[in-house]
Amino acid sequence: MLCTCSYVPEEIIVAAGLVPKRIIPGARPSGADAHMHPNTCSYVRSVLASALAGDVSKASGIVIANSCDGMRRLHDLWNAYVADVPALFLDVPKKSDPVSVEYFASELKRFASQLEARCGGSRVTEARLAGAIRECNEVRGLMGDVFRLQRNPLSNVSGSAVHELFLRGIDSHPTAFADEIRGFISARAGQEALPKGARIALTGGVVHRLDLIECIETSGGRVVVLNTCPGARHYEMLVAENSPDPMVALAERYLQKPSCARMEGIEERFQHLRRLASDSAADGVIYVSVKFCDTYLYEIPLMRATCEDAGIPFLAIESDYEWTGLEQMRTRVEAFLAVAGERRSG
Amino acid sequence: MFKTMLQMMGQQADAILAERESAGALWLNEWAKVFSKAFEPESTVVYTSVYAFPMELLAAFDVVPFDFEVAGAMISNTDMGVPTLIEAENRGYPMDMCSFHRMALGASYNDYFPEPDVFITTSYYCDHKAKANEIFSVLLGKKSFLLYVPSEITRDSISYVEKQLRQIAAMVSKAAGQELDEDRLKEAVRSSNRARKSHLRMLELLRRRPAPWGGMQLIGFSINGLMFTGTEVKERMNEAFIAQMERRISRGTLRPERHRLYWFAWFPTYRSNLFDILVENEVSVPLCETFRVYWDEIDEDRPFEGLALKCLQNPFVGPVGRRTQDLDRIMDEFGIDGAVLFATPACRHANAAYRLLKDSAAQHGVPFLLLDMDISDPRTYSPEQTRTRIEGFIELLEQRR
Repeated sequence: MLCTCSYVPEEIIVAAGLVPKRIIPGARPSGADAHMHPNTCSYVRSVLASALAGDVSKASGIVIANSCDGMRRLHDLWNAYVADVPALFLDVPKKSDPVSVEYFASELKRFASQLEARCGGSRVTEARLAGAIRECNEVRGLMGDVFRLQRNPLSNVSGSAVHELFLRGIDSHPTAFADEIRGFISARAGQEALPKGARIALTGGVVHRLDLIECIETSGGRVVVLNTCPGARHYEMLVAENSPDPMVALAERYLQKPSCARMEGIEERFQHLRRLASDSAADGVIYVSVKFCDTYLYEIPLMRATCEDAGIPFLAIESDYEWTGLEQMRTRVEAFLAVAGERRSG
Repeated sequence: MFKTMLQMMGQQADAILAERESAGALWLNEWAKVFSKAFEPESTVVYTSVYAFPMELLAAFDVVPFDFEVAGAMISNTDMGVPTLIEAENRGYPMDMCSFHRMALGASYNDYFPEPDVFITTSYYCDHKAKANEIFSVLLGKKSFLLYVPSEITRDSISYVEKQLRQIAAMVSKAAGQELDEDRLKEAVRSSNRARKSHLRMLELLRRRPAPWGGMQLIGFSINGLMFTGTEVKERMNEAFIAQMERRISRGTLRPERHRLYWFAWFPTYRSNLFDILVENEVSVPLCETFRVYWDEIDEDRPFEGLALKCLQNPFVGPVGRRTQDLDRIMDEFGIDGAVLFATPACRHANAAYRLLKDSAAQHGVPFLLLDMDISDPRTYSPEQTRTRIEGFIELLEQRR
């Protein structure tokens, strides 16, 4: 079952007997130009281009969350032009107060019934949901161990290795992924520490490809935080187990987890980033946004000011999702690592 | 600077009204009065999306609404527009951001705008307004409230929106130091219902050929005229436009008309030749989508629920199908020959829908023009390019006559 956003509770998909799979499209965004204006987010266009090219025709369905304006239109266009894969729509409030949690819980119940009615899923029973919650929580706990290793200056867990793990995770059943994480951790026990370098907290939106992370690492930096959509934010905060209403527990976790820029709560987001930077002893923050992803673009000036106030060097990078012009970015990254490195040694 | 602009706008409108009846001048005058009042120290100023938020609720309080998008649009129509945009850009706001919000942020950094007490906005029409609203609230240290309106109309979503409206009422009540007066809210709803009726009469008149009104003024009024909803001012304005249209019809002072356009969404707020070209070529715009009456009459005995439903019925909430619903009937009733989507670059929700809007127009046999043009930033505006595109489209309409 395809999904587009980390605000889709994968527990419900798992409880419906399906495997959640975050869509990482292979088609070029320009493949959707005849259907979507080119000044729309390249990720959204790339997803549509893949669907139009028939790349996803084997999926049971796709759930498109109400993440942003682009995603809403993706849902419209999918319904109009991608006939063979049913598209469900999940309305996710942009707020996390009690009335929003209550509404989102009702929306999740509707989502569960749609999985059964339209995508061939099993009935989502309380027992199955409780099991899925436990499985996903286990993954979160294990990923917490991975993040601690990634931050540890004496470990050999690189940002690119963690990112590759994310990519496997968003394509796996949680039980299988939990085994994979255990293997990942045990394989790295006792290995030699990574070379020292400027410690970078990478934060932002949709980062699916390794390009920028490798660029930082091959330029001498070390990515100690990956606060991205498929990254750490997807795993932080557990769902309450044994809740009288598991849908409410899910609604709480998904709306209250460390937020993406689509959500209200700029100041909370900044506090979270400062905490991540401090916990990981980051020397600099690189903020990455897909071009035309306004929710991230709008926050850049305030985010920069927040980091600068805290004495943390800040670099904003915009990608076109395909990472065209990566070598030009390398120049900026190298210069930034030099600045961040100076802070470290100074 | 902005305050002076408002004073001049009010004075000019006053001068016109002293000479003759003018619905447009009445509108500008009331608009200038409200925004000027926002600068008075004793005013409780609510920054909001006047075209989207159910203004009936604010009409129940002694507060002054202010909309930074509308205000920014006014600045873009002056020589201060570009420097104001640059002010925001120099502070790191990227040029891919909506120029409405760059303009508003630049104006705020330049201290042009009145001091807010509360920020309230809606999750529709676009993501950016909500984001800009929160940025303003962080920068100015005042509380903000986002009215989240879900896509579907269900019992749960009505209840959710209703609860939020009650929270907003409590927030405004606190800011204004005034309890919510239920009777006053009922009266605001009654006023809104009366204005809805007169709005329907306006639409009836606009079906006539040639159109007795339209173009940029109609689109502008369809957006920020909503600021007055729930007050007698809105009723008076509607009646003034009706009277003006009836006068034009009875006196036969109507513009010649060869083609009629349906307008999707916005228009340039800086000086441009766009509507002049249409007038030169005898093309009218008797209807835009923001001028449609999409909501039912509101139940005055259950005003919160009624207002919640009004929000949920907004065609800019939910799937694009809501925007194209009834288009067949509208095209027929209004005798529409062509449709234009004014596509300002950062308006993702509108631009990403262009294919669906175009296909929908095509199903009704109506040609469609995607007009790429910025809403508030004149630096990318080319009069000749605009002329070429519009005249090309008009040629197409001519061939189809």
